[in-house]
Amino acid sequence: MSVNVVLIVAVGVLFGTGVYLLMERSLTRVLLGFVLVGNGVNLLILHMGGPAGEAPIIADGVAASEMNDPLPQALILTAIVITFGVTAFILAMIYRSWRLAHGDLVVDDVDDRRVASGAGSPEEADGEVEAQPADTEFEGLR
Amino acid sequence: MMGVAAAVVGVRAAAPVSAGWADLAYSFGGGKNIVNVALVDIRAWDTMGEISVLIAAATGVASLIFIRRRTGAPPRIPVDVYAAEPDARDDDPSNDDRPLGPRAWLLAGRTLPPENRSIILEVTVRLLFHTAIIVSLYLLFAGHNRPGGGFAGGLVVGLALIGRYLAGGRYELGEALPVDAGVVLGLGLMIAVGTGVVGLVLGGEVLQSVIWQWSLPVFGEVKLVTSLFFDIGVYLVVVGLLLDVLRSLGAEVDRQRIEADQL
Repeated sequence: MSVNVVLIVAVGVLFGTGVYLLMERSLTRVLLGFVLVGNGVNLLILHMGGPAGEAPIIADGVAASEMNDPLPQALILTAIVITFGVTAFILAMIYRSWRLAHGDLVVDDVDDRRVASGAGSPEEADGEVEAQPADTEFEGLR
Repeated sequence: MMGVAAAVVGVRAAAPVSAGWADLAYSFGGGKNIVNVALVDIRAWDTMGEISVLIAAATGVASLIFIRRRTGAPPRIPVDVYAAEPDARDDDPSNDDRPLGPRAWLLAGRTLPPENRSIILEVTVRLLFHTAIIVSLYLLFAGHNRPGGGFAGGLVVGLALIGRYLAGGRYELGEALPVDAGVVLGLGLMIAVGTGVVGLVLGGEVLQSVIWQWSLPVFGEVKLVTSLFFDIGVYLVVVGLLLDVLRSLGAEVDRQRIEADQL
């Protein structure tokens, strides 16, 4: 049984770099990591489909047993389009985050940490709500 | 993951579920492209869920970008652009009601600052746009038997629209496809769901496809599989998604940036 080493190495590199980027704080890097991992998963599905064969299109002189497995290809096609949709959504989130806070870092939620450690609700703890930064677009709406 | 990838090839114990798809695709699905028949017929529910996810993502993108209202078509060229530039009109006075003469390669090219324009890009996009639309329609209809399908065709239309937007700016998008992206998305999902419901109403299974064959005088033998309509629905959803992303992340972001520069 032969194994396609190039595909395996490509999957490994895409997953390694992708997971590294997914661990970052910046949403833009998370997006890039998501794209890399998505492509790595697609390659993995393709690789799982078995050895390469003829294109799965019925034609004269090509037996069904010589064809590549059509199921992984259909799954990958679905996955590519979904990845595109999610990528566009994360991009929109980055843009919104930039407009509101002029940054795309995912910071620790202090209130969430406090609730998790059992110190009570945040309103009881500090008594007042922090003022919004003045240079956001909500300034005129309030 | 490399270990998983290396091991996964040798551990398959059961026969693949797609072993009989080659015969099924032609006898029941009526198509020779097994992957496309799998998408629109054998695994049609999967595709139905997928286009629903796409519509949710497109709506989410538009909601995040547009602050007050997110319906409506992309912006058309404002009238005062022409009024400010009388030489943009054709020399022939009978053409005065036409905003631009035939010399313009792209309709909205004059709305861009001159330093942002590229004549090579405008000419290339103008020459390629209609060809790309024809190719996408070919991919849509040929997809059942040859490489192609609703996804590929829709993405080609999206590429053509991206070219128009890149070359002509945000007004060019409105001139290229002056419809609301939500209407395209909704129409696509309606056609796809309608295909499934019609099968149910006529006494079959949901999303069951029927093969019609008849002979026409000029075209000869014509074979129509009803899953083509499902594919047209997928095509419209993909076009709508790309249009929605372009008008949100492209045109509206441009408008907000220009607005912020003017403050």
